[in-house]
Amino acid sequence: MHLFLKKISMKNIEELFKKVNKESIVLSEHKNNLKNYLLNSDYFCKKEKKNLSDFKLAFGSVIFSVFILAIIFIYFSSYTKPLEIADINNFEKEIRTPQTFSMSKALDTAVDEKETLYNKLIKKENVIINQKIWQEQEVIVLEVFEDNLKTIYYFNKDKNILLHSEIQSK
Amino acid sequence: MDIKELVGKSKNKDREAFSELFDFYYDKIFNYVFRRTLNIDYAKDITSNTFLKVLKYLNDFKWKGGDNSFNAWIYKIATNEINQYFRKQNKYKLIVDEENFKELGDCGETVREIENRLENDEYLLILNKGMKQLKPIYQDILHLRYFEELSYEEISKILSKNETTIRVYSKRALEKLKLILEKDALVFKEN
Repeated sequence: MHLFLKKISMKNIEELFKKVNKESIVLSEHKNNLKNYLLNSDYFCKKEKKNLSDFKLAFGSVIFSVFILAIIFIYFSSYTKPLEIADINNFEKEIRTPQTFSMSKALDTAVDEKETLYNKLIKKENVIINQKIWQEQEVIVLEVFEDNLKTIYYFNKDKNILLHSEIQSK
Repeated sequence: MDIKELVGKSKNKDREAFSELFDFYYDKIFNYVFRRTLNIDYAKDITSNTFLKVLKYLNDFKWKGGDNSFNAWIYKIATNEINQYFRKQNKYKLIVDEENFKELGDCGETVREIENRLENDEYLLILNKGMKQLKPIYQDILHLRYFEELSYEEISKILSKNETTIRVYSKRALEKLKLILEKDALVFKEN
């Protein structure tokens, strides 16, 4: 395998390269197999997985939002506005004047013990229960006899507010 | 579609665009590898590994220095694979998952045809024999310049050397090749 050149020069060497058969060799089977392998590789599947994970993320977000909204709804549906401290102070200031002190105390007692004061009194011995009109309203009057004193309690008709009380000697 | 568009779409996992890009480059890369190795089986493995790496690192590829960047990048990967093959020889392995890669191979006729063509291509055999005695970088330059017909600019990108160095190396490579061919009496002067 020898080549015969008139003169060996750099140009001749370059000429040798040009004489090489540069026609493309095609291995169609290998080409197709490789292409299919590459097109089915993780690189292209990742996009689909990513899309799926995007969907999962979006779905999760929706569920989470619904959950938060449900909690907010439940909270506000059972919410009662708390009494402002300022309102309490005003209320107390108004009530606790010297003129109204004794009434206030009685009311406080009635409110504090609204479920028990009336019941407590009617459980005592020597109690007379009456119903009558007092200061243009229907009231329940309890007359409690103790020692030589008679204490009269005026309750509203629902028996939960003490309207007035007085002590009389027998 | 131009290469830039195909690369852009392939980066966005567009199968069709990558398929087109593959078709455009497969023959070029396979023939480049085959001319360097003169072995069909290794040429197939090196080409496969080259394209696997193209896909693996495609998202890292950036257009630097003009429209031929991708061409230079893909040849760079192929050249690195070829050099690995020369270093490892029989230990060079295909990196594809063989379970999923059905290596049916091309029919015997195709392979015999290629072998016949190779046997009759005296110029390629002589040049290859001579070039194998050169430094790897000289081999790279001569193949890329004279077989692949790439510009010095592209070769400089592939081999990560400046263009002037490539021009100087190219000249030296030809001089050395000439000496080798003369020394081995592969090319005779005709008086």
